[in-house]
Amino acid sequence: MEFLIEQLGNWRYYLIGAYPNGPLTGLSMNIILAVLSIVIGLFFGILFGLGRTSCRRYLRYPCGLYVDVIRSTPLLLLLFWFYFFLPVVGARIPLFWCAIISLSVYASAYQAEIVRAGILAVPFGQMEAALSTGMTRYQAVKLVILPQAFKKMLPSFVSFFNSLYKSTSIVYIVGIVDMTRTGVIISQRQPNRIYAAYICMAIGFWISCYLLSIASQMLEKKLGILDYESYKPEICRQDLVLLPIPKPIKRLLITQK
Amino acid sequence: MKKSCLVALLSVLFLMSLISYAAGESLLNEVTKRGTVRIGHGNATPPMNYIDDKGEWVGFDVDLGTVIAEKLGVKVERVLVDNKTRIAFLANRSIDISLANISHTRSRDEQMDYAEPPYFWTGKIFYSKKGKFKSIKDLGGKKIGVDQGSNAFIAAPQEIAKYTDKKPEMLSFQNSAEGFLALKQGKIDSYSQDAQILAAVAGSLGEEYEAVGGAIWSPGLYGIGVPPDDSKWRDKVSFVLQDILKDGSYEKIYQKWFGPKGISPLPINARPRLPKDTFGDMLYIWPD
Amino acid sequence: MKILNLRYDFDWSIPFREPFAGWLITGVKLTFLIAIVTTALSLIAGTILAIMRTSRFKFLNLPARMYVETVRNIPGLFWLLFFYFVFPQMLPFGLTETLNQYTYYSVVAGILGLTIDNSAYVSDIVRTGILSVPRGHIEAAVSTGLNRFQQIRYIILPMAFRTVLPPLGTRMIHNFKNSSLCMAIAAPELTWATQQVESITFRGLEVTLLATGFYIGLSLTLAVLMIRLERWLNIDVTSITQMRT
Repeated sequence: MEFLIEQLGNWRYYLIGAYPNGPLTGLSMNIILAVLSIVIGLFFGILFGLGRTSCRRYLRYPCGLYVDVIRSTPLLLLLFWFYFFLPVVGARIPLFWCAIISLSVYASAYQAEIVRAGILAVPFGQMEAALSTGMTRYQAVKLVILPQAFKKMLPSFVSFFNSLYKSTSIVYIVGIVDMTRTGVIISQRQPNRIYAAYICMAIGFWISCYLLSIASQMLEKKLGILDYESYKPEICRQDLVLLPIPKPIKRLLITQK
Repeated sequence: MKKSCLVALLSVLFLMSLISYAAGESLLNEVTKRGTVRIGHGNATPPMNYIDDKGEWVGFDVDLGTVIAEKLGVKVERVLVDNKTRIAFLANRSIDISLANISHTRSRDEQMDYAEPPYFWTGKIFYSKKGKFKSIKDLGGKKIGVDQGSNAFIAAPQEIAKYTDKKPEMLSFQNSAEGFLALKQGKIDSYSQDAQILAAVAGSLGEEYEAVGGAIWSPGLYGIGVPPDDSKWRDKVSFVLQDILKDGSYEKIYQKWFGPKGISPLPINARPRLPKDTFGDMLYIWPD
Repeated sequence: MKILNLRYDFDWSIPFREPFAGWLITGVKLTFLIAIVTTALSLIAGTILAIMRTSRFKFLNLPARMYVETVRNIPGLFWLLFFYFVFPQMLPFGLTETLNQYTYYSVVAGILGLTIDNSAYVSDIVRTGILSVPRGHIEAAVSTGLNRFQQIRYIILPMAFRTVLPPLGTRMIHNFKNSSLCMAIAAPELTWATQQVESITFRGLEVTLLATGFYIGLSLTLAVLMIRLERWLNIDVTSITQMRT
């Protein structure tokens, strides 16, 4: 118990590391990673989400393929891809930005699904009504569809942010010093503090996530639930056509009853 | 519709061509022009490179890197690498110098080049609880841990096969501290790593552990990694390293870390030196 | 015209050479093992938790809720590290030694950690399903003389699972992908194997490419199978979302 109190006295190290004098580490690293990547991911997520609901095939297919491929790849492998493959094509990117890019790509695919679900939840009549008032398609999407869709999507965004925030802990594996790594470093430097270090690590994540989930619950109550977890992994029949699967199997999968 | 497809395709190709890489120029010119040298360090291998109690990035490699940049007359930009990327990043030129306790091995030399001489001489030992094993022969059939990215994953079973037919079980960890923790908890019977790293991660617990057979089984001659096929840059780094060895700044760093009053005192002499019986304690430096 | 100047030459013999091929095959096997066992365990644990959470009794309800709240707010990676490094030390003496000396403890720790993480989410999903079972069906079950266990076994759970099959499928695919986290604790699964090949040969792109293909292929196959299953069971997804709102 006294070990735990002693570790909690170390809160500065867990939260910001040696920030003013040294690099920023600890829990704030997770927060920065999560916030930056959700913002970047949101931008691309809206693009891909709109692309997926587009009636133009050359937009819908690539966007669908992108979302399906990213959503079926483990985040860890995505991270390794940007970590090892970007330098191979000649891009020189610091590790921190590699993590941001891979998390953003991951986030954009999931957010594209949320955006798509939100857009589909807006009654089609709205679009027709907007067009009939003389708006262009761009105006209709921007002024009529997206505002309504956003209201429906907000809770799923928050709950996805929660999930993304927790996923940022995997940057531990490539060596970025986040909360997990801080805890592990301490537990290894002082082996008799191992329980205390892990408990501190858990408490740090728990409090920050709990605050987030309270916020998301309040939002859900206010706006009605639309949980991103509950959407089925939508494979458009059209997307399937693009995948290199043998024809008989494809026919078997695609035929509707 | 076809038109816009074409436009999209062209713009993608254009973007790709933007990030393609212009080879040919020596790094030496590039580094001087840029004014910074990018040095790759790990952050999980005390005392060579690690994050200390205050959260700062320190270590023997880190100090040496600072001095090298000083001698090159450029600013230093530290890049985080790990056991796996310290060589890959050199090969694809994400970093100019890799100073991350890289032992010189032939298979690595195919992917990268080393500056001369090796800047630190140490060796791999099998570390385990005191009195548990008498010789390397006893390690047959036991669980042995190494770092992921260490050449010991292949070399250790070969070494043990010299003495016994029983194959050891190999496990590889993400960093040395995790490996030592596993050794301490009894998840592995022996942990193979360079001697000075083991002494540092074990810290005050070092007395409870020893090297199996009391001997180094594979030399670890740490070299400064430089990108392959760039002899101008390699020579420059070699000369800078030798200048550092000659003018005593190496000794200062060495004393700070491994001297008797250093942060992690080392009983053996790890300075790059010539054969003792002929040359005494002369350092391994090329004459002018 | 060479547009993309790759500083890498692919050597496709690497994944098929020994010992790398062996590592990859073991990796695939272990990935399957971890994914299947965690799916099964977390389904069982999640269902029990969900039943506890929908119970009227506080002594069942409260612990389950606390468990879910705790687990949902802590990253899965933490549970893996916790079960590998800390959990064995907490046990009474004999067990610590036995667990630590067990060769495949890393796999066991991975399975435990992923199960803990996944079961909380599963319980959330199953709970929604249970809540969506119309009150009238339960009343009808009571009036035919079924006891509480029989009600759950024959009426509530089949209907609940049928309703929540789509989100449950998503969760399981997620869990399958999460098995890659086990590399952090030295469990020799597929992602670990690719990194091991990278660290020995310094050419990891071939194997990483293969592994990514494996993950994508399997996830998509699972997703398609789930859709087939839903169609076969005649589940209308839109009705579920409406039901939940």
